[in-house]
Amino acid sequence: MKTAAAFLLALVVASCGGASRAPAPSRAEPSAPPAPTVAPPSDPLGSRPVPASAQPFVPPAPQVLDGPGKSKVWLLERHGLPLVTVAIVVPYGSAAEPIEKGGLAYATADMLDEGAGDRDALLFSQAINDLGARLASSADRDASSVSIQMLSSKLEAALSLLADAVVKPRHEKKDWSRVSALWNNALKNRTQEPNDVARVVTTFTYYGAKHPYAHPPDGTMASAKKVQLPDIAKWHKTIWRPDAATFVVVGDVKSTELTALLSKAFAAWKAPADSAPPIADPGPAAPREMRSFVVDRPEAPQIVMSWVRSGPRASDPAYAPLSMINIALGGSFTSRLNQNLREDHGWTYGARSSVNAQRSAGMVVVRAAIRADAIAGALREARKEVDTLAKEGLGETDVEKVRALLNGEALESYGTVRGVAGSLAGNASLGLLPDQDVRDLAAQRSASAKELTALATTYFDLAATTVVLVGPKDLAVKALAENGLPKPEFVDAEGAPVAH
Amino acid sequence: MRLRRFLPFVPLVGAVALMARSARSLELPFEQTKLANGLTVIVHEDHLLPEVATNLLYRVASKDESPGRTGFAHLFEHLMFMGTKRAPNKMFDAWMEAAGGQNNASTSADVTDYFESGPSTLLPLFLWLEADRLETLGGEIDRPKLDLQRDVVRNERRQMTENRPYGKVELRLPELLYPESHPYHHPVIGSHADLEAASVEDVRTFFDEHYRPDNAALVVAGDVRAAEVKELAQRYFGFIPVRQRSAPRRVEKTAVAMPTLDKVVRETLEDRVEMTKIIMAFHSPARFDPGDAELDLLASILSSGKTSRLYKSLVYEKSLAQSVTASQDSSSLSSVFTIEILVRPGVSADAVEKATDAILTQVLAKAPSAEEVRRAKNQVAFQFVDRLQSVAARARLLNVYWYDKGDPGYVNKDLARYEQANAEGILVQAKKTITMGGRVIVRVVPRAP
Repeated sequence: MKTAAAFLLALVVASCGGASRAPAPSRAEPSAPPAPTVAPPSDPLGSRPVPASAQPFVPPAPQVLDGPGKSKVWLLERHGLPLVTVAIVVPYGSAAEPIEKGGLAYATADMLDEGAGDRDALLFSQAINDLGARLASSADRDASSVSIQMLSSKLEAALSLLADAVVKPRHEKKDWSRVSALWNNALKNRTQEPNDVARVVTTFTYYGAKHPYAHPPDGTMASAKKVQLPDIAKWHKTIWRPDAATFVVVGDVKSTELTALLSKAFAAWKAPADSAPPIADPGPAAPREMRSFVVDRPEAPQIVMSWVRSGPRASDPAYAPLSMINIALGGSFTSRLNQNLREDHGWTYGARSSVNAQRSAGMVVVRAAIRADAIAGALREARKEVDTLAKEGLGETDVEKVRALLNGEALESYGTVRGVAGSLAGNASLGLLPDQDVRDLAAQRSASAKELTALATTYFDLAATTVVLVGPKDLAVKALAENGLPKPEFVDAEGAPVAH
Repeated sequence: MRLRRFLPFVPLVGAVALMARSARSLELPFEQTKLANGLTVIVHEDHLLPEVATNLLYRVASKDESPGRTGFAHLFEHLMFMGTKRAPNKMFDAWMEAAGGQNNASTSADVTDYFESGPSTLLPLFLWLEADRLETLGGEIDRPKLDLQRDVVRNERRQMTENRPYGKVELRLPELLYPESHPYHHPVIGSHADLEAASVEDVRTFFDEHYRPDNAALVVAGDVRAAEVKELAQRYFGFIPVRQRSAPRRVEKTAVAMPTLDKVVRETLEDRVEMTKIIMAFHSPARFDPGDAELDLLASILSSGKTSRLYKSLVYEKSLAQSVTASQDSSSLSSVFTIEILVRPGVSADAVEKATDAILTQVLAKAPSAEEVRRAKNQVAFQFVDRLQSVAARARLLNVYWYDKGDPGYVNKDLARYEQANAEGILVQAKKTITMGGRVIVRVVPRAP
């Protein structure tokens, strides 16, 4: 269910598409409550209760400890349930790898648990399962990560396995042969999933082929074939180094116990003598005029519509307030996009927008799967909503709602071990601070409607947008023309040009 | 399970205060009461964070639908958000989000539940909104409201099944597994034709029959006091009458024979996919019935981890498959044990089926090793604790226990089912369920260019 999906996205740093940073918490400021429903005297239900302003939730900041091999440890203790999550994040993802070997960081992460230390791939998997633990590894554009979740009684044994995976992966030929084949097949399968196609093509066409953020973190069908086992061994040595790593630990463990356990399990993980490689900061996409792209899926019942334009880097002071504007536009059920496209017109099961959190310049994305024959209207209405937001910004009521929602989301995020771990690992992967959520909260608390309106004007102007439609091309082309959007370029499921 | 909302909006509110000395002993404390109109109220206190989650479960779902109205229970779930006189259309969500709350709903083959979460100060609002629509919604639905949500639901069907690789299996498998007379014969989402046929009169009839306080249970979990919740429940729900005297026409488990298959039912579907998928489905015991837990453990033994029986053979050793999963998909009347295999490109599906059958034959010949059983149990132990992290998840679990077992305090009995399972019991149940001559086998193959 969503719980698991959301966790994996946030915690292991999703394999494709800049994973949205976990919603930053916010303090709900005292505000004028909405007027209660006035019930007729005879109404047995009575008037609608108007909630008192919720107690502002301030998330706890993690302890920062020194870890093995000059690593850092972010620890947030939670002792209610006997669960612990441990994640290790290194700040090198697909943006740092050679473009022609796109997917190298992803494949390197994938190979961590394919045999490690004294155990071959089968025995390693068995050892994880014997503990009832869950291990996952992946890479996104800005970072690579591995995480393990287990009952706290299994922590010591789980850390020993995690250390083997990170420090002593076996990189055996027979395992790589199998993993590589599975990876290539999965990429082929990806071409038939319209939402995956939309994500891959949107990013590729927006950044342009030569930009380090353009290719999907799990690679393309062509680049995956170029990644070989020696590349992986070398890449592992280059990026999986403790002096660049952050341990994120959340759950039922005390700091003294954790420090001792990490020192013991990771005793062999030493910082190399050479300095760590530079962290990729590829900068924004080259400015260009508005463009349209179509991926043809003949007879598909829906067209996946995406609008994308530039956003701020995750460390930009604008990021936290901009995420407030995004919630109003397409980040909750009552958001403008969802209300218009779903609740007013019935064209979609849901419409949303996001501000992708990336170390370097990110993207603002609007996306919805639209009934194919309604795509012209959906393009028009989505554009209208974004243009209105850019022109008029947010009103006080919008701002109050968003603040209240952020307060609720902060409770949600910090209510579970997996939620906290996901949020902290996301911050670590982007080079943000351990108490970033607290800082974001403060920024959101103080942002005024006027300031937010100025940001909306800057970041929701669609003059230089890229539009991607994945669905039947005839309907797509007609809808683009009806909306005065550029004549489309036709691309395949990975964004490469195809003949029309 | 079908959700009203687009998945990204499902709330994930949670806290960590379930009492657990270990995975072997869980405490999920609650208080239960029943209002005079029949509404069951269950309260689980957890004061770690200032949050609350509610779960209002109605004993009605797709199994209770009338002929020619498949998908109606789920469509009705959508209509429950379309407004009343007190809370006009869109205000249910607007008021809730303005205060920092979120909500959603889901419909399965067995039940429909509506859930909210947010800061604990929102509890009176949650209860007021739920009580309002329980009292009045049936009379508030008109043709435009029905048409709009009909469109949304049909888009949900397109997005989640028709335009998703292998999604059509979800639509077809129930029809192949169950006879036409069985309540599980049709998919929860229903057919386009039946959704189109739904009328305003259907809505009113369905509401009056099923949406009544004596057909529901409300769970409130989180930073609340039981006494206060009971008082609020009485205040907001206590006056709502049971509109019909006769009991709702509900499919009861006792009235439905355990379905069987005495032959292999085969079907091939074409889809926009790159690889062939084989789906084998077997009838299996209902949720919490004897054998249900053993099949969860068997599923783990078959496909969890590289040393699991099917994964090791098909994916790791023989390179026949891209992936394999086995699962006991439990429901209240009866369940389905499913094996799904994604066939590697260039490999014959026949060869994969043959290899799979060979493994299953071995599984049926000898009890799993003690090591395999222990491994499977350890995985269940973690999952059991892990799934209880949020108060919203606990609220739903209490309601599932109430619905299926009549006992919200079933948690340790639930866990004990797994602890008490053994290798011999797994073999006995495997022999009953994995019937090679009585199963459904669906292949999804790449469609011709």
